[in-house]
This record gives sequence, structure tokens and C-alpha cells, in this order.
Amino acid sequence: MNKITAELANLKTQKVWVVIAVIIIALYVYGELTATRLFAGTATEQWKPQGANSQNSLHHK
Amino acid sequence: MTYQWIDILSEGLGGALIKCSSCSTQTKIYNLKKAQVFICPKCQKIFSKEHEAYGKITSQKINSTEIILPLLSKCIFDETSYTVVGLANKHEKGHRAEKWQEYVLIDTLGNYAFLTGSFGHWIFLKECIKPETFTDKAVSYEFENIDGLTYKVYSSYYQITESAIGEFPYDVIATKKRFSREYVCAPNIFTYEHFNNEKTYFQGHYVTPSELKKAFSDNDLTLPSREGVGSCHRFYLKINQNQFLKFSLWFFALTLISFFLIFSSRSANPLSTNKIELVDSIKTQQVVSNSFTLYETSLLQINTHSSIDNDWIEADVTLVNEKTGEEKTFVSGLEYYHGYEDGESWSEGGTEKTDYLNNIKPGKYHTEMRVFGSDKTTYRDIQIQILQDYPSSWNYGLLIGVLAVITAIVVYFGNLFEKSRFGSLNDE
Repeated sequence: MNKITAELANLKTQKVWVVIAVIIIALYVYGELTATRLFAGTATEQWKPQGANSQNSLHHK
Repeated sequence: MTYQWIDILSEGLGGALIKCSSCSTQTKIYNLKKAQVFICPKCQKIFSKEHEAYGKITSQKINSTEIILPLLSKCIFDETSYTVVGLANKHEKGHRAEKWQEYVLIDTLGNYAFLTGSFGHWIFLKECIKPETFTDKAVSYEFENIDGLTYKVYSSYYQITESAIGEFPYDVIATKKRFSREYVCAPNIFTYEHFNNEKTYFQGHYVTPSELKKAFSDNDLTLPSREGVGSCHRFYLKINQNQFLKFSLWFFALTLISFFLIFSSRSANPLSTNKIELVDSIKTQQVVSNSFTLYETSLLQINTHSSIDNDWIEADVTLVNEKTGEEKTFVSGLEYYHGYEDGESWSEGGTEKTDYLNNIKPGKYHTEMRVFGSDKTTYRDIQIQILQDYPSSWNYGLLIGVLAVITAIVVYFGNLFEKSRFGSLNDE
């Protein structure tokens, strides 16, 4: 228990590590919530309203 | 006749008002009981509680420009208020260049503390009891202090006092026989001193210039700039590279276990598969996929596979939300060429490709695909499979990779910093 307390006290002194860990966890949670592969390319062009892409789009049969 | 070491004019709780027998300057000794030596700030006459002979010598004069922290200035360290009551300029015996200033501080209860400054690096020290884990009988190169940290030996030396003024709780004149050994675990320092049969121990920590200015907030200090790496100078941003590495390993271990427990059962779920063929002179085909429903915000994986050989094929794929009519269009093209030239085989492109669509909102969707091929009349097909995937593995691998790279950089430069801390000692 004393060892854990000492480690937690050390953690307080390593604020840079804590900030990096928080950013990493936040990015991971963001990726999960938005179903996004972080910093990876996506095949998408962009969302278009109905009809804007009519030249290419086909009618659903 | 008994030896009265100093002329006391009056004595109270806050110290004693004394008069210099040489220049008649009236000054104050804050702890008359513990003070061993007093050196008049005006005429440098030495008064010693134990050595009457010191009265016949005077300390070397201290130039006012040398005094960085003026006598009687107030400061706060570790939430305790102190007054500067003494200053000594010292250097290592045999190493005149290894010099430092030692300021004696006293709190309102009469307890002494020390502030040393060397080449712009400052250390605050207080006397402590001998740690149980420390042995002074043999030279220990490292020991685990009561704070649980491992301290490494930094230097051992005898000290010479060049000049001094004010009040000292020890014999600041006869320092030649005072042996000191320093152990460091940045930003902490432990010092062991041996003088005659008396052993004293000090525990301290590094003080950054900004912390020093904050401690002396009443004074407008002009501090010398830092040179090199101090004995317990902490790595940039107060990072301890060993602890950084330890926390990163713990983080990796704990998150890896959690990751596998939570996400190991996840696998990509096929939503639709379409195979489009181009035969003979047909260069374009249009296909609409079956509808599929996403019940949560999803990542879509699009696997494209084709039978092309020295050819190209391209598919314009539009993801259509059947409720809102919104469309998301992207192009998935494949080309694969290969041959044999100048005795070497070559190939370019491939017949498989994987794309991803991030952040697809819940809803009912279908895809509309228009496939284009070259003028060739050979059989070609393209298979487009859409799967509901999860970004967990990619994101976890990426973020852990980033942490690993940052940790490696910190450890590398932290070790270089430690090398430069101890390097000067190894060179001697």
C-alpha cells in the first residue's frame, strides 16, 4: 500500500506524463464514440445533400 | 577570566542585539544559542563561540556585487518563512573553480536552513536525521533514502571558505577538515558531512531560478544564468525519465489487459457484397446493393478485389442514407501492371484494396456503384464488400505507438542529461 501511495505521489510530480496520458485516453474515447480511425485517411469525399450528386447517383430499385 | 565571545546589548525571543568590538556596529544574532560563529558584515571581524583565536583574524571582504541574496532579506521555502542571516563563499579543496555561495537561513523558531548557489543552480537544504538505510562507514555509491528513491553518489570533497559574513551554526572558518559527500536523485539531494567526530546529514532539493524569485518575492533579484547541469538539476519540464518509462510500461500493461478483455470479441460484420463484371465490350456497369442498417455510429470498411491483369478498373461508390437522402461518394480504383524487362520482372499496383469511411451515423443505407473499365474486351470483375468495423485496434496501436515514441525520446534525452550531470565528475 505504501508503495502504491509513493508511486501516486511520484505521478503527481510527473505532470507531463499525466497530460500525455490524458490526451491519449481522450483521443481513444473520441475515436470510439465517433467510430473514427485516428490520423488515418478516409475514402470519403464529402456528404452531399440529396440530388447534388445526381449525375453519378442511381435510383434505388 | 571567562571568555565572552561577543558583546550582547540585549537579548529577546527574536535573538540578541550585539555590538562588534572592532567597528562598534550593532547587529543581531537570531539564534544566540545555536550560533557558533558570527562575522561582522561591516568589518569582517570573526567572533567564535569556541575559538577565541579567531578574534585575531578577519575574514576576506565580500564585494557587495557578489551578494545575490542580501542579508536580512525574507524568503519562503516549503511554506516556512526564513530570513537570510549569513553568507559564505566557498570552493572545493584542490578545485578552486568548483565554487559556490552558501546562504544561511533561519526561520521564526530559530531553525537553520541553507541555500547554496553554484553557477546559477540553487539548492535548499535542511539538516535531517541519519536515514536508517544509509551507512557512512563505507563508501556506498547509492542508497535507498526514506522517500523510497535511490540516491547516487555525486561528489566527495573538503571545502574551503574564502569569505563569509553573518551568523553560522557551525565553524565556518575551519572547514578544511569538513568532509562532504553528496548523493543525488534529481531534484533531491542528500549530503553527509563529517567534521572531527561530528556527523551531520542534510536533505534538500533543487530550486529553479523562477522558484527562487518567487521565494524572495520582496526582493528584485538579479540571478546569474545557469551553466551546465547542476548536481540535482531536474530534466526539462521536471521529467524524470525513469519514472516516465515506468508509468508508460504500467499504462501499456494495464490498457493492454483491459483492451483484450473488452474488445477481443469484436470482429468486422459484413453488410453487403457485390460482384460486378465487365465482359466483352462493356466498359460501364451500374449496381445497387441491398439495404443494410447501422444501429450505432460506425466505421465502414470497404474491401475491393478485382481480377484485372495488366489493366485498371474503377468504381464510383455512393453510400446513400435512405431516410435523409444524404450521400457520401468515394472512388475506389485498382490498377495492376506487371512484366519482364531487361532481365528483371516488375509489377505495379495490386488487385486488392481496403478503404474506410469514418463516423457513419446510424440509419438505413444502401450503396450505388458505377464501375468503369478500360477498352479491353477481356473478362474483368470487381468485388466490393462493405463491413461494419471498429476503430479500436487501429487507435489503440497508434496511440500506444505514439506513447512509446515519446517515452523513447524522453528516456534517450534524459539519459544524455544524466550523462552530462555525472560526466564532468567522470572526466576528473
